[in-house]
Amino acid sequence: MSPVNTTYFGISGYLIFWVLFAIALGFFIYQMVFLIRLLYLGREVRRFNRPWRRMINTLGEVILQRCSLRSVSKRDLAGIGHALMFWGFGLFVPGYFIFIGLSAGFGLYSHLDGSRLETVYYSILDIAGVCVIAAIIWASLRRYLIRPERLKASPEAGVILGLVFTLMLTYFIAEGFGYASGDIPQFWPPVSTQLARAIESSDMSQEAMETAYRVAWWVHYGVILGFGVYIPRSKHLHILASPFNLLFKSEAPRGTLDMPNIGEMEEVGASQVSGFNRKQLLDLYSCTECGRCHEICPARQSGKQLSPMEQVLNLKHHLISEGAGLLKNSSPGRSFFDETVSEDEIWQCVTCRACQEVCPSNIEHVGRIIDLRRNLTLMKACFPAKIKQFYKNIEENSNPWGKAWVYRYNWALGLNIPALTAKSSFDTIYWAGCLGAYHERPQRTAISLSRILKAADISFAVLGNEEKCCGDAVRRTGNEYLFQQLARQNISTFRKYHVKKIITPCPHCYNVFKNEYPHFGGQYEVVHHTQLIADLIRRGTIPVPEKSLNKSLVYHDPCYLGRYNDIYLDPRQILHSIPGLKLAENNFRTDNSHCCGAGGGGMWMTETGERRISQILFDQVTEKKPEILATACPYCLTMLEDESREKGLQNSLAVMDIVEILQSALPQKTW
Amino acid sequence: MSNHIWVWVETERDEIKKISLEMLSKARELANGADLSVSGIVVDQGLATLSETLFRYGADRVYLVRGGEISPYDTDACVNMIYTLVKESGPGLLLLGATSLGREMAPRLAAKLNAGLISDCVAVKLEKGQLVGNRPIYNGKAHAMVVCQASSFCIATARAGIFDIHESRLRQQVENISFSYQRSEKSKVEFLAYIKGDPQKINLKEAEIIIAFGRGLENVEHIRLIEELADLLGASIGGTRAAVDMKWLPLERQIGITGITVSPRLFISCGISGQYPHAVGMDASDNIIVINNERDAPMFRLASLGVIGSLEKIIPALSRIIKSLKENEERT
Repeated sequence: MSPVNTTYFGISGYLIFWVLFAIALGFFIYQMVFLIRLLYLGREVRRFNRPWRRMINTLGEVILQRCSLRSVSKRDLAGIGHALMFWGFGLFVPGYFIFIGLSAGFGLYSHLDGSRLETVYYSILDIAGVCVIAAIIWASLRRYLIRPERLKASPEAGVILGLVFTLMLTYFIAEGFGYASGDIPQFWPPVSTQLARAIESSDMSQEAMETAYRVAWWVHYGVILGFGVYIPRSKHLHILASPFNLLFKSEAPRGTLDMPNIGEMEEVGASQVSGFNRKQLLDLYSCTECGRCHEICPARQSGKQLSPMEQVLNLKHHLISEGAGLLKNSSPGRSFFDETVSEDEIWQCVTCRACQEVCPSNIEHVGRIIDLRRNLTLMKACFPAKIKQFYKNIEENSNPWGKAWVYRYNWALGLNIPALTAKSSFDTIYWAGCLGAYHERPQRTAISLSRILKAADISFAVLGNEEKCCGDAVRRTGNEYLFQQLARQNISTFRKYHVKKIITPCPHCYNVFKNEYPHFGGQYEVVHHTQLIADLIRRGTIPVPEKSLNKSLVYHDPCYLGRYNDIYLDPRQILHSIPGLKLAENNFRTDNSHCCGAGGGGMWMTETGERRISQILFDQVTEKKPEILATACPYCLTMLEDESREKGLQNSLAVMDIVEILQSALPQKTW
Repeated sequence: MSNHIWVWVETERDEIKKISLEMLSKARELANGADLSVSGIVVDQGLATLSETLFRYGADRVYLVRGGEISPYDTDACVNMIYTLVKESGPGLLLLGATSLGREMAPRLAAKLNAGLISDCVAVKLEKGQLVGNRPIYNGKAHAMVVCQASSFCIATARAGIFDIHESRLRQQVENISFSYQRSEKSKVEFLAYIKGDPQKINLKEAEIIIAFGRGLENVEHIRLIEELADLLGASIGGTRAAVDMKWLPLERQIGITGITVSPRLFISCGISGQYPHAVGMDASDNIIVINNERDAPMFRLASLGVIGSLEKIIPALSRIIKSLKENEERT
């Protein structure tokens, strides 16, 4: 029997069913069309290549719930709850088409009632329903009693939990009364039949049972329709948006920023809706407000204004509230910088990519923040005073220090390292970078490395004074114009000397050469020093470290080496090859590593906020009281060493680059 | 081209500014080689031995301007006055110190007189009757030799501390010309009072002497020692990022890559290890004294004079010596 196949106050159940359906569908379509039209206000972006691969990846992420299960750790199990709810609720969805749409709506119930399909499907739903209820109780306890820091106290989540709970409850009530008012199957579906037996044993009249069944059924149906109306205006828009956000994921290497054709653009970067590309706008719809990025952001942790999630939500609100005017062309739209995002928060990002790494919805935070910076820098000439000096130093002397470019090669004098000339021929160059070339501390790394290379008989040269800043921090502070200029100049120097391979101790230079210079026609074999040395160790072409160091050590993964370029194992292999080193790992390693605060131009700006980002990192990496703090990036090295001095630990804790540690363990006669 | 070299003489309270004597000495040197006369132009504010001093440093003639209401800070009036003087006396060459007033007056005069201007010179000479100035460009990375060719009148400003001061043999004929200038319109500038800048508060970039400290200060109490020394020397106080992070100093006193870049004539570095990000902000200072108890602090590489020892002992000792030197000076 179907609750639709009857009259209510003289009105046909079918009529009520379809009218309600039409109203809900109308609202849903109206809102979705509005939201989709808003996306088209953004700049075009091509993310349609290899569609099959994209689809398979997306299905894997969504159906298998890799997106939420990936983040499950001992500390945070919430991803399991999401997966349970997703799968559980997901199983109900086909039923809505078959048992509500076909069976009730089109009156085909007689074909389905009591069929084997019904028994099997409802048995599955019974189990799923119990799982979903358990997950809802867990989620509610977590959200309202445990209250993890990352969760925003928003009423929306309560509404959704309430709706899903109502759905489950009305499902069981409807099934229980439904079976109780008719024949009760022997065992399957297991939960509903038990409920039905309990109801039957009470002294309820047949009529009351039928009424209860109808009420529960209609409430259930109403909630589903309400859900459809509610979703487009809530954070649960992510249910519809994030699968597409995963589908249109960038396939470029992680360390690549999109390259605007600044010569032909009227407005570079983004100051209003039309400055973002469509994927960046879709990002805004996809946010689940899970707060993972908010929790992990080093700027937020150190008491600064920036929170990637808050920024996304503010931009989403901006897009939707400005959208109607923009679509009607009746208003040019406010600037993001009016009220939506503050300039301070834009400059507080260190581009560590931790937010993007933890985002289950593939929101591209770093690219968005850099587009905002590009607009501030190139269109409004609005940047922190220190960045102005930084640009000027690079423009005049091709290094951020403002030191004469003719001193760049000085570090290598006396080390017997040749600089390339028109007559010399070397395939491989050693690129010290602006820190290695000028700053005494990373210079020691560069010197250690050059000694190891010599010990391994690798013939190499340096560019000498023709080396110019690679442009990493320039690009990440939004000065695309200066970056492209530097990239072209460096590439033409590489071309002049027929450079094929670049070895560098700096993960930032590494990332730029490997992932960004190819856009400008510069294709090289780019090797970070840890990769090179690990390879030499594997092939046995460098002397074996023989001095036992007998020290405990923690290795800090630099963002641009780890999260950006997946180089986690090579540094550890080098450390394992050194006798006596006790490598202690902690929770803050690999892709969960914390930024030192120097990336994204942070090194060249004045840091504000309650704490320094490097203080937080230092506390994390010294948790296990190591005697050596190892890293593989000149930025991290100088930041950590500053912190160590700040704490007065310079005599008990050595902050070293991996090559320096290796060099100290190699026999002296090697060089 | 000329028969006169004019020098604009600046006074500050009861003293002739050193830079004006430098200009005068240089003018004398140029005049001797080309048989020209040197005239000083100065606003008479009742300084007793004013003309005598100027004669002693090379002036043949001193124009004492008595306008009553003209203040040396009123550049409009000073410009008009020099303009009138020069117009009466024909072609020549005018030297001004590249002080804030000199820099303000020189271009206005040049425009008014349709004269050539070579500003901010570190050397000037006369070659075949033409003025040639050497001025640093691109932050001192290159030097431009500028020749003032066409105009009959040339103006040059020069940096302080470049030219030596020479007393010259007194000329037999010196002339004191009182010149009264009545301004035609009301002055836009009103001189209210002279307030001496507190070296501890002025912009560090303008300070001639800077004492900077870093983490090596160890104890916040020691700031008092630094302040005492700074008072005695008339020095400004700055520091490293560490000093700012520890809230020992306000952010605008931070020297280095994320602070400001300074190049005072004397930089006294106390308890600063000399990490590169700090060093790039001060390594262009003329003289650097480093006090640090760590023998291998990188800062010592920049030192003109290095002292290894604790700040606690050295700074009070230094203050004592300077104090007694000052007392001696006052007694004599």
